[in-house]
Amino acid sequence: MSFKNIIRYACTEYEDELKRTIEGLTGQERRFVPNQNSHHVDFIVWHMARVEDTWINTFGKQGIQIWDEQNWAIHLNLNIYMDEPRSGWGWDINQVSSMPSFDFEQLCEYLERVRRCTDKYVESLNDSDMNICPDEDRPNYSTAQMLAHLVVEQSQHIGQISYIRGMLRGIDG
Amino acid sequence: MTKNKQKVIVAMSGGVDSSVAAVLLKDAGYDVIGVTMRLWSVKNDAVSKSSKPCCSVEDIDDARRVCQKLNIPHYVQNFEKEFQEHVIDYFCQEYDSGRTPHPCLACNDRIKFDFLLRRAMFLDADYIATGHYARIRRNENGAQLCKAVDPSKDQSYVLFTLSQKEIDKLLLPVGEYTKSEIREIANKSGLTVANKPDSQEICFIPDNDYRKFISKRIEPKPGEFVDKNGNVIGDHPGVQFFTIGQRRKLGLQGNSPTPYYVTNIDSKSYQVTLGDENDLYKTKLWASKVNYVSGTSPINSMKVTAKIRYKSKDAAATLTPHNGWAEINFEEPQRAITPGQAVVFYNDDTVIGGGYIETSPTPAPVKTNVHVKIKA
Repeated sequence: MSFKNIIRYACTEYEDELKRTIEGLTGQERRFVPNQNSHHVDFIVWHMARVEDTWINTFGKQGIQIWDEQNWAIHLNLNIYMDEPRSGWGWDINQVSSMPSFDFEQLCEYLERVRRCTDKYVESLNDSDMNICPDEDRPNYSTAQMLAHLVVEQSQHIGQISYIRGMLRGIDG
Repeated sequence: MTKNKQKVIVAMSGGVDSSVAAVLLKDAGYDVIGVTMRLWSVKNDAVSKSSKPCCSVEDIDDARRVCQKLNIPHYVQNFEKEFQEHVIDYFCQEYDSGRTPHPCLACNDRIKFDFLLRRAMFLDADYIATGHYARIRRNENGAQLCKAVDPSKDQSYVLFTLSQKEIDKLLLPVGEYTKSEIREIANKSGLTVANKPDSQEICFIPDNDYRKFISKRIEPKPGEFVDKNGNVIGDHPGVQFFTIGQRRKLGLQGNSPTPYYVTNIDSKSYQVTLGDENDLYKTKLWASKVNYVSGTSPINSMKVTAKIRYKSKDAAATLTPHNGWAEINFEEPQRAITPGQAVVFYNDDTVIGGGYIETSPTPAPVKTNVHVKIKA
């Protein structure tokens, strides 16, 4: 099996798992934090979408993010100052807890568009592309490394959401 | 490997009573694990903050904080499917049949003392405990279920379905104290829930509007109001929306010389009978699915006191056991004996048993696990 197909299967599975873990969560549940130093689900899902948009469009395609191209900061009421990479990376706990409320369905729509963009991008790659290091600022970081990292990072965040869901709804809840 | 301590699973709702149950058991030397049962999910956010549903984020978080304070583990266990099937569906089905259910009975019987107990055994627990106000006395002849020390909080009525097998695995530490003592213990233990208000409503209907809840789930059965002679008085929107003794929200036009009360509900003819208050008083009832806590039915009739509602007073009566059901004759007429509610028999402060109130001596078997027609 090609690396491309492995990534494709991994992304499909991660997307299905993400949908399962967020299904039915209320706004209050999505803002629940296990303790004062924890992230909430709203932040984690937004962060996941932003991370993927950044990796695929800024790093992989060396292009414009969907976030900027389609004005998602305005759609989501998140038109606030953010340090680069504007993905929530490096945010302190005060920033997370004071994150403005937004329409979660809109966030899911943004995530959906990012995911479909990733699908197309992965589909466009051939095996030789995997060894290319597209970002001149990171000359030793290849497309394959980026995609592998993306799957691991997203899986990690799904685990965090599942843990929070389990705290509120129990196993199988 | 042997256990040093006996292990107990405490069903923690996030309220003060079950929290203090955990405190008392920990102080008594048990190995305590807190479990919050996730029973019900509000499907959307359209719930006002003043009408907080059960199993809310706050309740679960309260339970977790109490466990952190006590340095004991806390788990959430999901019983939503079981609760839907055995409590919500039962609740709707009973109203659909013109009866007035008591969902706490079903929740205790099936969810806490069946499913939770079984899962507790998987956690290698010796006991489960709840924050109910009732007491258990154990002796060589088995265990007795008794009223709580605090008569104003006594919940023995909703525990009549307990068998010896279940009661053998149950601890009710809160029943030995008054409510004010329980709050005092919570305060002294530094629990944040010490002054949390008691829950009053049916836990899954936080705004207390059961008619709205029912109307979303089952098709109404509109019909006629009739008097006791069968004369038509008017129309009603559905038998599901009435209970015996109800005076308000009848929806009748005009004034009657005396107030009308619901005295009978017939889910087959869809007729709701109205009468005056005197028509509500009866001295006899029948009970189905009778459970005797001792595990043994009395052989002969016996003098008891009986309660026909959670908050009603004990009334002197004679219990005549039959096979699986019972006949109760009160010395004084009782107001609004309501099919679907429980009648619980006592000998002084000891629960003998109880059953579900029926309208006839040969009640139709109560269906279980039957889903009512859900509205599209």
